[in-house]
Amino acid sequence: MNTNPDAFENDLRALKRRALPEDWRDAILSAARDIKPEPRAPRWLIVGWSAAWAAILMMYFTTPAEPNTQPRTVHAAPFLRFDERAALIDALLASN
Amino acid sequence: MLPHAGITRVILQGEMAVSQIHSDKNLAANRHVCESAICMPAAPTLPELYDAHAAGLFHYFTSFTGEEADAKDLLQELFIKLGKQSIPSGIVNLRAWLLRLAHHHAVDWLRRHRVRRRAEEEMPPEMFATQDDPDQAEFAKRLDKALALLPTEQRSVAQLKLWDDLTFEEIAEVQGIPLNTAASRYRYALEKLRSELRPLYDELKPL
Repeated sequence: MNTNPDAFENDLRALKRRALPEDWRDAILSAARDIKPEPRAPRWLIVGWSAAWAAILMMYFTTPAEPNTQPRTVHAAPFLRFDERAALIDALLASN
Repeated sequence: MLPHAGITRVILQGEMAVSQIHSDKNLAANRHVCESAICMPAAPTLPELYDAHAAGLFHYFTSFTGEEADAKDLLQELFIKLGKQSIPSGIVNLRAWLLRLAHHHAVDWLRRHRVRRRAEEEMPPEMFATQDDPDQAEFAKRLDKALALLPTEQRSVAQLKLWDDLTFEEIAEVQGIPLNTAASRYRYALEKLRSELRPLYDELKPL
């Protein structure tokens, strides 16, 4: 890559660009100064926020994805056959 | 491992940074903040940035907008952005850093406005200072027109190379393009300028 400038380039380079109008300086700088710097979030807030997200993610990944599919133990009355039930009723009636 | 190797390395890096800082001819103020043997350039103030770089940034914006009013708005927006954030200290090449910000800002602007400028129908903005010599004034005027005819990407590279005095490496970094692309855009731009200006240039030579 030839980076040596020729006469044409040097002549272009020699032309001075015009300066900015004087009144722009105050206008632009005062506009920039009137803007207050955006407040940064305090450090404790960033740390707390990160810790909360870390905890949420940890809980998410440590919790099993599938719910427990084991059938629940049903605490119901023991199943009695018809003849057993009839015998129990007879015994109850007889005792009265 | 040597017990002080880390410290030595940090100090050497600091010295290298300082030597680069001293080579930055565009640094508005030669102030440094030194902290335990390592000196960093102090963050420049907005007026210092303006005095050193506003004109270059404005002309760079003009190469995108083609309109002085839009370029002024972009310059003001850039300084407002700089006013909002704290300018980091220790920037080695402040001009390249600012131009990179300006480039992103100008590209955003172009995306928003989708300008399709027909340069030949419009009066190009005057980029050059008033010349006392009428021949030079004519040449500057013709150069303004020739620059306006270039595609934006070639015009902006030509500006950075010719009048902001950036190297191709710096231009590639500022615009986020490969080094060869920067060099070829400059070459195309220069050839077009040469062919546009050749009759007048040969007539006036030497300027």
